[in-house]
Amino acid sequence: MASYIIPVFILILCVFCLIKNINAYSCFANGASEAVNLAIKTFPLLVAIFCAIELFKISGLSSTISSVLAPVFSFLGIPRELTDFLVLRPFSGTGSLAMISEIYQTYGPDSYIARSASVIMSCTETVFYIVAIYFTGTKVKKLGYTIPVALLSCFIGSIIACLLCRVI
Amino acid sequence: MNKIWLILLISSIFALLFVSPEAVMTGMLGASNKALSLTFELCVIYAVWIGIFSILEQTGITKLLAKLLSPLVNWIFGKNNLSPESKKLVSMNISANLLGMNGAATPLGIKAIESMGKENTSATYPMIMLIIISCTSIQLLPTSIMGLMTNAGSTNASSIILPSIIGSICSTLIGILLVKLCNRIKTKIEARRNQTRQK
Repeated sequence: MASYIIPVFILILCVFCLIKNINAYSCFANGASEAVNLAIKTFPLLVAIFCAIELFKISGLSSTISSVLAPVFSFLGIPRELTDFLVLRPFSGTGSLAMISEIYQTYGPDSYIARSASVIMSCTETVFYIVAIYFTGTKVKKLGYTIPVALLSCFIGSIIACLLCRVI
Repeated sequence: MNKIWLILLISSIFALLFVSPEAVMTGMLGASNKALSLTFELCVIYAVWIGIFSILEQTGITKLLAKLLSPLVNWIFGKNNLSPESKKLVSMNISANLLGMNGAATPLGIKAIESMGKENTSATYPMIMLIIISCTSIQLLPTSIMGLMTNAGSTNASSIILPSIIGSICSTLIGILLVKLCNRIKTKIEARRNQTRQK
């Protein structure tokens, strides 16, 4: 079902342009030309974040932090097994996807832990990546309360996700 | 971001000094390599999506969408905080997020924030709000994760749809309210500071 959304949407758009006689071809090309600049601007930011996150992972700091946080999380209703996953989630999208596959294999994809992990994955985002990338076009240096609020709302979302998986 | 980045680097490198100091440089270069390939990937995704958006813009559909979503956008962002241009981009970013088109949401988000103030050096209230909404993305259909579950042999992957929807609505709502709260506290503090200055 969901795999139809985008193709059908583009199809309708094209038909609409044909009827209305809109020069879609040059519009598309004009828009696409912006992409290169955008990508060039994001590259240095990506390098900076990826370096920090890679070192954070290989230094073993992420696992140290999660072992400290595990009792706190389990008190709040998040299973201990998901602590590693939750710590990595705001830093790395591909990392948490890899971790979720591991969780499926270890606990079975229909277990409570796997389902909670899946729901957490769809309720949250890679916060640090989004924060860095979204400001690409501006000169913003001071972020104010952005990161704490983003992390906190994702965290509360994760607690709710675990609760919901227990009930539904 | 600067502080977080430095703290992450300092603590990680310090920890690695005791374990394997040679891993620092290889790790950083490996990560940059990943960043480069991601940049290429993003460039392609941006090109296709921004292309499609320019067509949408030309057809006037974006204006219609902005009008449809304007009560919601007005409630979230405040009535007079956004220019019409930002409103359009924000509405499209939210709809892309809703439909789970993550590739489309990112370039729109970047452009929306750019339209809110290119020369600003500190994040404004609408900027923060947009970021929080994107970070807690409401998703109607968590397709990619359901695909992963099915691949892993799940027999009941659709059982996560309902909790995902409710959970993401909750986290987005909490995020919006938290930003509103923080903004109110911030304006109060600033007002008090101004008062004392005037005295």
